Amino acid sequence: MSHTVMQARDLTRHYEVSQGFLKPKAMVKALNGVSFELKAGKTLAVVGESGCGKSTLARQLTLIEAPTAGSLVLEGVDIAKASKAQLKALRSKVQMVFQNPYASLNPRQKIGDQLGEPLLINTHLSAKEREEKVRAMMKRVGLRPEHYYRYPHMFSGGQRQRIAIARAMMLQPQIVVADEPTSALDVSIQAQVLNLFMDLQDEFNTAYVFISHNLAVVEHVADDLMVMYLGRAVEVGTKEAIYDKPLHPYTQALLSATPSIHEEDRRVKIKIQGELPSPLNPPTGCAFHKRCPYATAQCGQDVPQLRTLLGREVACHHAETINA
Amino acid sequence: MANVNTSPQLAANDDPALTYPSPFKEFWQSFSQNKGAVAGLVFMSIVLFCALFAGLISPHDPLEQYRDHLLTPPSWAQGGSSQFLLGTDELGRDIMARLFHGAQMSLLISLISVLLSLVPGVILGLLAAFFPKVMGGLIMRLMDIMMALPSLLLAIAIMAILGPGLVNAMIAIAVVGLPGYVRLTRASAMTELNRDYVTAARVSGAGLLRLMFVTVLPNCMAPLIVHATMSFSAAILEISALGFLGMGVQPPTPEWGTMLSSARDYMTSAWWVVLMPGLTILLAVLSINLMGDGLRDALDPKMKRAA
Repeated sequence: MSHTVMQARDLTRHYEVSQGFLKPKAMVKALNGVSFELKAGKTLAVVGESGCGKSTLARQLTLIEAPTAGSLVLEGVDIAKASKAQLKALRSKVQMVFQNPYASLNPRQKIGDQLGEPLLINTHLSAKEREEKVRAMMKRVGLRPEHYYRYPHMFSGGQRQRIAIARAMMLQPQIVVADEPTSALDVSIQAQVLNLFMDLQDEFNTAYVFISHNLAVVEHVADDLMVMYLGRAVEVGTKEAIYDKPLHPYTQALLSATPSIHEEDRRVKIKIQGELPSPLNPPTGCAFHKRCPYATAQCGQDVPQLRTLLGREVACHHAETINA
Repeated sequence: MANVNTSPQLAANDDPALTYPSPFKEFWQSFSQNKGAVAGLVFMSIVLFCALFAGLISPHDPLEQYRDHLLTPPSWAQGGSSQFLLGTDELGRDIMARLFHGAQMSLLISLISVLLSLVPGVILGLLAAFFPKVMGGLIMRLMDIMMALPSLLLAIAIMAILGPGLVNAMIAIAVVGLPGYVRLTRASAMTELNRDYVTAARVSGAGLLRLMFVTVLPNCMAPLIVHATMSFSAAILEISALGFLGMGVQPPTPEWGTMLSSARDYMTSAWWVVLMPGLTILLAVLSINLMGDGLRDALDPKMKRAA
């Protein structure tokens, strides 16, 4: 039975933005109360359109930024109450893989030095031990030994992403946050990188937070799924439950947009009108009500809370009537 | 452009550690591919040799005034004498001896004043980039004030506060050059700070000093190297300007810039008095700039070829 490695409760992050000289500062509510539980060796996929707060979530989870409100519990320690030394120790437990493999490697550092850096900072290993570990990890992700002395620009996108994965795995973290790790890669390379992700998960029992907007990729890797809209989770549950029968109108629209080669798998395309509202000035009530085909007067007033329905949690006032 | 260590036989070797040269050798291999940089290095080595052994190799005392030989042309020109290879100046001093001895002073002054503005400039620029709100604002406004003043005027004002003298002249030149380094470092560090690899280093636990000097600074080096080599030449000329105003190197101490400025009265009648120090400064500046280009390329991994 796998244990919980990370628990987020009402995680909130607001940013102050200046609207110009002598004007009051505005608040961008990038993340507005997100809760989830992450179990060792499992993958939680976070999906949603651009601007829904996925990358903000990634920054909170990797402890780069402190959340405005809410709690994040890692290894039984609440981040908000942790001491500096505790934070430093916890930081190495969460690592990250970035979207763009061309920007996520230091262009002036050799691959060997780059992979060895997390060990240099966080362990007391000697230079020789570090090199051994780096070489073992390079072999594990399918890099050749002579790549040790090369610079990032000498590699292809897929190779760079494997280097980035190797760097994230060097400390054998409990959690890896992957922010759209395949979206900058060729389709032929995507599968290779995803398989590497899953092999490493089996080997190290790492938990993944897999941020993506590619629903085909999510279906391949995820155990659990969280659909986000404008800084809130609208539907959270197991992958099977949500893919079988999405309950929230937004999830339904998202899933219907996934192309499929099998004719029987094709869903009726649900088109949603309009654009994602500005997080500076979110709509009242349900954030989705202005684009939702089922919206009623209630949707414009009350914020729907997540409630359990058919084996998953959904935040919609009319989930039952829509799916009746 | 062929790199010696990139032959396929070596790359296929079982132990790749053996096929890669030491960092210094690797640096030299990329540096030596740039012919201009090597030429610059050769010239600067000669100048350095002359400066270090000026007392041994110079034919005359640089301060000795040969009253019978005022403004003697160089030996190959009409009226020249083999006693004074590059001729003499208006006081009958041997120009060659003065150039050799002047190299000591000129190299020392420009090197120290460049270092004195490069090192604090880089540190201030990095601080301004890493703490943009309070410290960044303070540092940059201070630099703006310094940039708003004409550079020579600012140097004179600093000299007036510190008092005349060679060390103070170097400090004044360094302070005047400071805003350029701060601005350059801050601008390139701020673009680098938003890149994912900096976040990756943060996530893996890198502390502030490591982020500043190991992660970010090497990626900001290219414009800094170019700026440093250019201000090297500017320093030689500025110190002569200060000397001309009676605040830098005091006569009769030989120094290239002072030699040049004191020779301007004889420009029409005795060309060599102007040409010799002028040409020396020109060649030294050119060599340093070429070396700077080579240095920048040799330190940029993108200029290297895959092994």
